[in-house]
Amino acid sequence: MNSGAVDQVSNASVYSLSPEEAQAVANDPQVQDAVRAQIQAEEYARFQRAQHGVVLAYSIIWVVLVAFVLMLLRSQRRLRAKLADLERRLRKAEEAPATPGRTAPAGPNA
Amino acid sequence: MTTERETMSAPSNRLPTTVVAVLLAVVGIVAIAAYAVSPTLVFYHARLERELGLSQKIFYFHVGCAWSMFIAVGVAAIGSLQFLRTRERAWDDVALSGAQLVVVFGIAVLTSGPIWGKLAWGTFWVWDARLTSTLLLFLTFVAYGLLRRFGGPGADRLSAGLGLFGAGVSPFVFTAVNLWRTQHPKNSVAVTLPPDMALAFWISVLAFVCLLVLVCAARIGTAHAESELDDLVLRATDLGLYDDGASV
Repeated sequence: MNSGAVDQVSNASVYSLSPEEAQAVANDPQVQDAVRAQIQAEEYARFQRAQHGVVLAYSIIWVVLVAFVLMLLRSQRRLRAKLADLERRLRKAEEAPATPGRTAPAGPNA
Repeated sequence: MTTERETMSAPSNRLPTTVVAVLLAVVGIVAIAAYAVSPTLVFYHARLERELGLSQKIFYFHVGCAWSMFIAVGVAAIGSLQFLRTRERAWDDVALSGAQLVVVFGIAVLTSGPIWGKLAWGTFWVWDARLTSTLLLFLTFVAYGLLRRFGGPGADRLSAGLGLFGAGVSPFVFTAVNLWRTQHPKNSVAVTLPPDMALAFWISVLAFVCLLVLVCAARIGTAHAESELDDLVLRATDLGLYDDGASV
């Protein structure tokens, strides 16, 4: 006997049924099918809600972490570019002929 | 011979570079292995929790993120304390990296948690001690970031104090579920799990902690490089070699 059907039907006070009548209704295959279908529909809806929640939570966690790692990589690339630029300027300054009386190579701010 | 630059970069250079590289490689391999198996363990090996059903699966990654957040608070606290003691910029880099990771993992915790709360409790948020104190901790480190960004000169010392405040709050966040009656599950849930769920849980936590170590090391390296480049740009600007300003 489906325990869900018994639970539903044996709530005898609601339907004014005696326990024997409730048992008889609960044993009715049509009632059992209806209750089973109802329970399955409810469980499926609950499962779907949970599934959406799990997918959403895991997606957010991954998006946040991946976004941070990508930002970190971008920042490292930018740093490397700055460093290369600085090295290039230094090399250029070293290669430039020294001007008498100046301690530092000539530049835009000099 | 120890140069000035080596002294400034003390925290990252106390261990030989090769040892650090090997340790990080080992952590990386462990992280890859843990992340490779954890989804299978979480979704196929661990049983469905009887009352919460599928929504309980959020717990495995949510707690992993929360542990990583607490470890990042520790990193920020150590960096802040050492910076206030020694005034070495390298420790400030450590504190800044830890603080940023608190915010990153905090976002993950404070979004995955309410999603689970909606499924389990029927509401996204309740103002219980654990949730409220976690939000406070998160906002403390958001304030840390804002202070660093807009605080101007002296913001490093002020934010170090804020980092220590955050570290002072974190034990209350962790023990809030035991100290007060909260809707949030207790910490003891983790040690009372059946073996199949416990395996999935600990592997997930391991994966997130390893990820934290790797990202933290990378972030500290970047922060340190930013500081060094700032110095170089300043020097180059003084010499008239650079006219892009000092900010990198």
